[in-house]
Amino acid sequence: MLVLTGLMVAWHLVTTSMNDPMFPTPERVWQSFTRTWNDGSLMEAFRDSNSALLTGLALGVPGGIVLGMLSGYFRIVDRILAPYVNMMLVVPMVALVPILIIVFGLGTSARVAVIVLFVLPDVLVNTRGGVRLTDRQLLMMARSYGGSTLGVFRTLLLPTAFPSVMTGLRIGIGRGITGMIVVELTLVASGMGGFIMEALGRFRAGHMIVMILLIGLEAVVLTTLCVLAERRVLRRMGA
Amino acid sequence: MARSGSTTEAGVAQSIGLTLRGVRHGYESRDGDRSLVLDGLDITVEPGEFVSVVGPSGCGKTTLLKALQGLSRPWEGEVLVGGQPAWKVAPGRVATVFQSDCLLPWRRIWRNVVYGAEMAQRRSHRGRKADVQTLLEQVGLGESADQFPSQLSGGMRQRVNLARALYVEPSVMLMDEPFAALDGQTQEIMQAELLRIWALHERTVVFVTHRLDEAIYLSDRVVILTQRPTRVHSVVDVPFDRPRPLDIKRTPAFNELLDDVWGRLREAAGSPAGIAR
Amino acid sequence: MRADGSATVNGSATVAIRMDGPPLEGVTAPAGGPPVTRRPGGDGPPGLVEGISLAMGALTWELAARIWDPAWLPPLTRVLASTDDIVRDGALGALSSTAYIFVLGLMAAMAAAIVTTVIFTLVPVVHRLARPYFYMAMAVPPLAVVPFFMLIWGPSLTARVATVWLFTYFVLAVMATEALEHSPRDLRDMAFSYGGRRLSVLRTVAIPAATPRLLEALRIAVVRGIKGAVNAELIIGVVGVGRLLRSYSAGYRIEHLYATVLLVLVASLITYFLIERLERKATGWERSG
Repeated sequence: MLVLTGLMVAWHLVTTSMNDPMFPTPERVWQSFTRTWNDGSLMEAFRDSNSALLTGLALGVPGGIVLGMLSGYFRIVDRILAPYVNMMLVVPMVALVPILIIVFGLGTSARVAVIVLFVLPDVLVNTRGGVRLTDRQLLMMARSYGGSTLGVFRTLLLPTAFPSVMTGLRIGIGRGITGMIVVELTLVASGMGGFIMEALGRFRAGHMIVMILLIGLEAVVLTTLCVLAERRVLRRMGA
Repeated sequence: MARSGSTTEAGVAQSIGLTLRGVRHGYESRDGDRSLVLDGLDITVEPGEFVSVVGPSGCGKTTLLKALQGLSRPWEGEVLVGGQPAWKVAPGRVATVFQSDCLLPWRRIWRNVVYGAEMAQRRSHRGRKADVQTLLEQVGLGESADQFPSQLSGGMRQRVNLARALYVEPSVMLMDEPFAALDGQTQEIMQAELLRIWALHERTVVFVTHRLDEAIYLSDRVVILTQRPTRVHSVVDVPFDRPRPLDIKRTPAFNELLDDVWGRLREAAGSPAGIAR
Repeated sequence: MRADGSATVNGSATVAIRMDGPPLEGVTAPAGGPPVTRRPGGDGPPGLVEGISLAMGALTWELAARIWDPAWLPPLTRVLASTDDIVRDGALGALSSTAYIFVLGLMAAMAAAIVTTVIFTLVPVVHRLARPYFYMAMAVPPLAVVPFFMLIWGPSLTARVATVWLFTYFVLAVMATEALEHSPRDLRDMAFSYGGRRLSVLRTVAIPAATPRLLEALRIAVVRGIKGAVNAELIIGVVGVGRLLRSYSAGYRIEHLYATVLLVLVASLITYFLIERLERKATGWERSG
């Protein structure tokens, strides 16, 4: 809390002394916030972008988990997918946005596709890592007692992999938020990214900062929720 | 059997003796509480002598070594290395071989050996590979000069640790359970190796250990310490001639001595806990 | 898998594993994360299976494009053929301008990170004070801040370099500080026992011990820097690859678009493999023999 107040104070002091419309004071930003909140434009942009985010996550996360588990368990799957996954991790997925727009048009589907592309690789890699943590010897032991594949999966693989999967989820959500706005910032001005670009065009620094802070806040809140959820489940599991 | 000086030519000038007189020492915890560990130690080590120190767990062997290294000054009494107070001694006069080999994993073996001299700023040791090669052969690692620590086994790494200590040509070597982390067979081999290498230069050695057979096998005398507050319980002479083959450990004379020391240690400890035969 | 049990995952993933701390007091994400094998497909050089997989992928692309012929999927062969068209259009020049802002931004971030790390290591109080601010700064997707840079600096070089800087600085500063803080205690004690002075010990122990982590930080920063550069140009799009992408997509020159994307792909991969090789070479000693 001290940290935040310190920041606020510093912000206020710096910007008031600068007296530049490009660097709005906290008060200006608050004004922008109330204005956009009241006229609904803030929330509309929020809803617009986040509906795409939800769909994207709903597709990307389970997909990443399934593929990750298969990659972790079956070496052959891992090796087949490897070139593509590695490319997706190293190459900026942003570069694919123009292609996706041509494929999916200018609507929401393009945004969902981008989000899936941003989310999937990290979820996959972390899930895969989690599965690979499982001690080979423990697996052999479970099998030797006649454990079925499903049983082994439930009792051994899942608990071991769980923390990694949660990490992947947390990272994936962060990436998803980035994916959510990247289309809007570059090619299709709608939602939160569009809001920012419009504010840019109209030189409305206050509006811009409001939205940037909102995005940041969303990122923090969602990742914190993930961390807390992970802790809750780990405690339940008796870690 | 005390030794008055080393027999090799290079050794005579180098080996020096150690004296602890009335040393009282301990440590301070974070809140400033002082714990007394050593309560009046009197020990003399002659130049070129190999002395082992045994005692129950927690009897302050580490504190003793720290004082000998000069890393901490005793609350009372004096710690003299070659007549000088320990903390005044030049770096590299006293070399310590720890239980953990502490090799720099990113340096090759020969570069690790010269590291001690590098830190002690020995200009005479230019850190040339050729100098190191002879020493490596002495410790039995002639082939490993260019390898990395990760490529060597535990026993081999300890030998490098030893070589590094030898390279600075110390007057005194302190060894803190150097073989404790090795498996049983390797321990025995290393003990024999240590004697072989020591015989080349016969420096003064203070060897701390839990293992009584190791203490007796290696040394000229065994110092037995008490439980805290620690004093010297007794000192036992080891009358066996050198060189000592490993199978001396199976002889009746050795085992009698072992029983004797074992008995004394039990007395010193007050309980059999923490003593390994 | 490193000797100390920690490991890394490619690109931005590790960044988040280590530092994604919510700025709630006392709540921090698991540091270092669970050990994960280095990357999909394993550590070794890509083998037959991977090659076949790629080849099959390419083949599928080609066949699907020719048989099905959707408007948005040109055959791979035609895409490859149009590469020299795009080169004539100035694609390589565009690529070099992207590379330029990448290098500038990364250098600036490294300089700032070195200063930050030195201060943090020498004065731990500053580190503790600054940490919550760092976490907050890292929580905001840098992408969202890019338009703000454009507001302040216009569509200039400064704005683009600043973007790359933003993408890379925090990672470098945080990981470098962490690397130097975890200097191996026992090795330092050993060095001191031989009479080593503080500076010598720093030089011969702390820095070599930190080098693997530092190079890893660099590798991650490089990946993020590439992202930053491409993002900068897509959003601020005056010159460079981003601009090319936008103009091709606006003009519906589909083959050229794909070709440009492939160019970006290849350039990124090459850069990545170069930095990864550097990291491997310098940390050979960490892999157990």
